[in-house]
Amino acid sequence: MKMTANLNRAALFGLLTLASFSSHAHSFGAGTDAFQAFVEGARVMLFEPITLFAGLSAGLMITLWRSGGMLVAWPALIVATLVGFLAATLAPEWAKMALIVVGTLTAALAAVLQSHKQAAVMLLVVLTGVLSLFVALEGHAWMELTAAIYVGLILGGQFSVVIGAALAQMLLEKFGTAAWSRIGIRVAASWLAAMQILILAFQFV
Amino acid sequence: MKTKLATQTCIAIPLLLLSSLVAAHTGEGINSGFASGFWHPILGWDHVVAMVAVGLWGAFLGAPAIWLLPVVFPLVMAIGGALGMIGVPLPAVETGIALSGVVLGLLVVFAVRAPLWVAAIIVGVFAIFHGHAHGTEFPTEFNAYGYAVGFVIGTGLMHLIGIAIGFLTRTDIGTYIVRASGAVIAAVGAAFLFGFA
Repeated sequence: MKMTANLNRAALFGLLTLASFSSHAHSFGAGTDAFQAFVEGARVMLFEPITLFAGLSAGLMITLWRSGGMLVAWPALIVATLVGFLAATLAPEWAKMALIVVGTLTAALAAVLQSHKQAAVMLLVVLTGVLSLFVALEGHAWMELTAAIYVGLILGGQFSVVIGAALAQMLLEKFGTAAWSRIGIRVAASWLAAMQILILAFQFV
Repeated sequence: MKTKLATQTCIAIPLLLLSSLVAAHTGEGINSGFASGFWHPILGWDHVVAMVAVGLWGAFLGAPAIWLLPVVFPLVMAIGGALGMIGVPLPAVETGIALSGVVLGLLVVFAVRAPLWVAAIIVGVFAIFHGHAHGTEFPTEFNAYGYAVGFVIGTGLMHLIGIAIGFLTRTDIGTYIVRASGAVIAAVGAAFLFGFA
């Protein structure tokens, strides 16, 4: 119960952080540059469909794999985003395509399979974390941006996954005994997979 | 009770703010792209009847098909859409779409209880045709991401409507209504197939 409450709070915090940006843009000015930079970094991760959908897909898969699985997968995700940040200058040109493919695969497996192997879940989470940072930092030289932006990027990379996992967790715990609650998450995963398949096709148009 | 209301309010307010942010961030095109994608499958009767029929047929097949088919359809349809977008030709697309209405409608009329894998293949094959048509007609002037989101949600909602109607099969009279709906779907499909619509 405590774990769910924490996840719920994390999801709400993520949403509130995003929501704060709209008022922030109108109300704040000098002296808040570091926060602006932080939000800008988080926005890149959360409002770019490619990184957002991949993160949400990973979140859904984590909760489908194991109730409360986010707490188990989170350390791997943190390490992955840090590795992605540190190695971003080495990112290949095909990182964006790779992230779409990984996101599609993650969502499709979450939708189709009834159970998941821990190794597969961890692999997909790590790939999502690393590739998300590769894509977000594409074209930027090492330490070219401010530290606050990097913090925003790394935390934004956590939020997208946490929000997906937390929403799924809330559904499972509220309607846990109903068969459709788990199926509902799988349907959502199939929708995410379909969107990412179309986004993949857009790259060739 | 108060806590529940407060929690719901806490979730609703940021979501409302978030929605305007999304529109603001992505700039011109997202709304048009989303709307275009959302309405594209809904405004074509040949698409609507087939997608609703998937939900109705799933109701006769029962669990897990009632949920599995709506999972299969968007996935395979997106693959068809991708093929259409990148220009991979598919023969007799319009015929396939019209035929899907006829076949799925008849499966509902006769309440055919096919094995799950057979049902998945039937639905999957027709989904390719529907997706290909949407992919070929993708309006390049609109925001592609918005189009993808709207397209999938619009299609998914059609399935959910079909599933909701399919729950009528829990009563005898409801079963007759659903099977009659299948006849209407088959008739609409036939009208497209033979060029009356």
